[in-house]
Amino acid sequence: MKKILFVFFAATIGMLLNAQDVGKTLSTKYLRPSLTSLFFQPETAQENTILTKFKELPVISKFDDNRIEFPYFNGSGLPEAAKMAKIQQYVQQAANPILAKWWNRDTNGDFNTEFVAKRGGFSAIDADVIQAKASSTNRIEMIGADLIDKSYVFVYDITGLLTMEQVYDKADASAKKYNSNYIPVKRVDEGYEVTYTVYAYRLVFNDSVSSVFYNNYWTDAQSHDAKKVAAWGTATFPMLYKTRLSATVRSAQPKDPKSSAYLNKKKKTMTELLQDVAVLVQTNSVDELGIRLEDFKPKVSVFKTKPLSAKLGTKESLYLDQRFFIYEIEQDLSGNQKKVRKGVARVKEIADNNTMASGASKPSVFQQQGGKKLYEGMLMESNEDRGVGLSIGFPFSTGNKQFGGLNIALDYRISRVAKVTGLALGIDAYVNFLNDVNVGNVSTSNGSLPYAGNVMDGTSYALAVYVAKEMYFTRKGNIYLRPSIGGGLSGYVFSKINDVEIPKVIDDSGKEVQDKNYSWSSVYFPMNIGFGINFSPSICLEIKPGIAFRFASTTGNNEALIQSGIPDDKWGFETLDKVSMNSSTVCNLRFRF
Amino acid sequence: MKTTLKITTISLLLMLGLISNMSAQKRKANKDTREWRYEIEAMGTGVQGTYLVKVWSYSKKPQVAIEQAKKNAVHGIIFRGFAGKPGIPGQRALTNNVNLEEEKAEFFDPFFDDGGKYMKFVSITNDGSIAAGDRLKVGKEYKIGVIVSVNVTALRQDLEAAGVIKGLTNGF
Repeated sequence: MKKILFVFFAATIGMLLNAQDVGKTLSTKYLRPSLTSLFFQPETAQENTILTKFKELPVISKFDDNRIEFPYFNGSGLPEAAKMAKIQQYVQQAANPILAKWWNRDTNGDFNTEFVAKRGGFSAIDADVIQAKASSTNRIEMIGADLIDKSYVFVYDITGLLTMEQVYDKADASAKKYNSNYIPVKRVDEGYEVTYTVYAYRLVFNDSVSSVFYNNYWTDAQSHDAKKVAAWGTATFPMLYKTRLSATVRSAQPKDPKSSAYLNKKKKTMTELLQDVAVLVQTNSVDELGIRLEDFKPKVSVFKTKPLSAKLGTKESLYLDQRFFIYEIEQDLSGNQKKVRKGVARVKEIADNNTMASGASKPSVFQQQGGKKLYEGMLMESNEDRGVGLSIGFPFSTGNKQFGGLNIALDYRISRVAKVTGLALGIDAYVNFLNDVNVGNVSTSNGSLPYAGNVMDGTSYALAVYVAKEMYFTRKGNIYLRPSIGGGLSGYVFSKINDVEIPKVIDDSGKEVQDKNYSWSSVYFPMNIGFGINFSPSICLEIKPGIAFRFASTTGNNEALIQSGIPDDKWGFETLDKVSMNSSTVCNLRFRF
Repeated sequence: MKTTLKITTISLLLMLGLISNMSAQKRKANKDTREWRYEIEAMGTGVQGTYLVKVWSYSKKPQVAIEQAKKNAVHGIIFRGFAGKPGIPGQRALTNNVNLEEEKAEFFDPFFDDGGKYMKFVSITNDGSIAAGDRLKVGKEYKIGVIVSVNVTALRQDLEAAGVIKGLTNGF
């Protein structure tokens, strides 16, 4: 069994460390996708408010806007299989006006290439522009025709809409089911929680479909064909179902008008909160589907290596710390190509390229974060992660075992919002177990606590919120520095005195609860510098020396603790009534998701 | 003193090794050109008097392959020609004589020398970068595709003036 587990983990780590892709000739050209958003029929006035706002939103900059006037989809009450078939028919009908938009169909029913050429020009990169200047035929317009095959349709269905009061009611009902002595959730926020499903389709406009279009439906001002104009009314084109996503978003704010959240911004009305749901759904769906859909992942070649740069930017909705994999393409003697990952990099500086390419566009700068030496011409492909980091480890040296035992940290990258690379917000926790530990002679202002001369069993913990910044100083980025600073609570919860269970007490409401005299807590501020080694984009090893200042130790009844005895050392009991500084070095395995 | 001498000697030997390696790759690249070990494909109809082609060159050092592309382009247009693609016409070689390079070695050797006259007729048409699909590792070598524009009109005139090829109006 152990052998099987070992082989499984080794294979998993091997896959994580060396991702490859096998195929014939690889597609290395990024074609700018376009987006049409369609909607299920709203069933309530609130849903209608959301959809009305959604329809006004500009399309996210990495897409071309393929907005069309199209009725809502009516799929209420349908079973799943029938619903999917009906959605397919519905989007198939949308293909007609989408293509009409691409080919700029006028009131006479004639098409022209103006719009396609304009989009082709906007999508063209510097190399296309320079090549076009050296060519007697402008092939940039042909890029526009290729873009039609990347027309996407998202069909949104709002499946659940709750106010925050309803969300709290649900949480309380669930807690009550498992524990009659549950503590009701604090109802601090107001707003909405919305669940939605989005169905993603792509318009197929490959060679065979386009030849049908040109042969059967193309008519222009120079050669107007009334029959073809009439035939257009019943023209349909294939729409390929790609995937679906279900997710939940929350648009909420503190109820209390004196909340610090309103120091720099105004309190919104409930209608405004409802309208904000539209923005959240749009952003969330594009972010999540951007991870799943290949066509949404920008790809480009490495432009320069000192510093690492590539010609992508605001046009592709690049954001700070967006992750890219860099590949070398290998070709065998039969001409089959595969890509072999050589490195990983994140966006460091974003170029504003939201205009037509000139041939001398400024590139964005990237920071390599692991891998081998990179070269110009290698393939860079977006491979977004969720920005979540999980660290598990143990301190291998500490002056206070309260900061010993098991260390778990969870962090979330906030660089996109904070506009600072490498910035993350996290929670760091230590858990350790005390067995037969003498805590000394501890008292409060009300008198001695019954610990003197006794040995205690229990648990120690430390929980802090922190901010960290990942910094790189080498070209390949295989090692990094990660300083962090935070603040939180540490403490002890005792379960036994001299191996005898500590009895519970009855509180004011008549419930049996832990005796708060046996639960101590302190404030602490940790500061660390992590030295990390990147083994792969997802796995790194971090050694983290640091210090933590601890003070203000109290019981669960908020009585200050006073130490007048000689406790067992290395548990921090000797400095309960002082400001203490503890140093430790933690070794963590860190996973990035 | 002895340590300094040792370090200096080792450094010099390493440098010589590197230079020698690069020179060997260059010589290999030139040999490949002479043996027609490159590929040439049509990329578009160039502006008046030019051909727009992509040249695929081979080398263990990608930089050598990139530098060799210009030479291979001119060489290919003179001796090989290239096939067309849908919408893009191919072109015949400027000469039908496959042995011309050896017969006129006294002209072509300096012509195709590093920094030679061939450079006058060719320019790279990119923004200084290699497209992602144009850098391929094939076995232990790299196959690099570079798009170049060759001034065929001027090249033909130069070759005719040197008496290397006959003019188009010759024979009338």
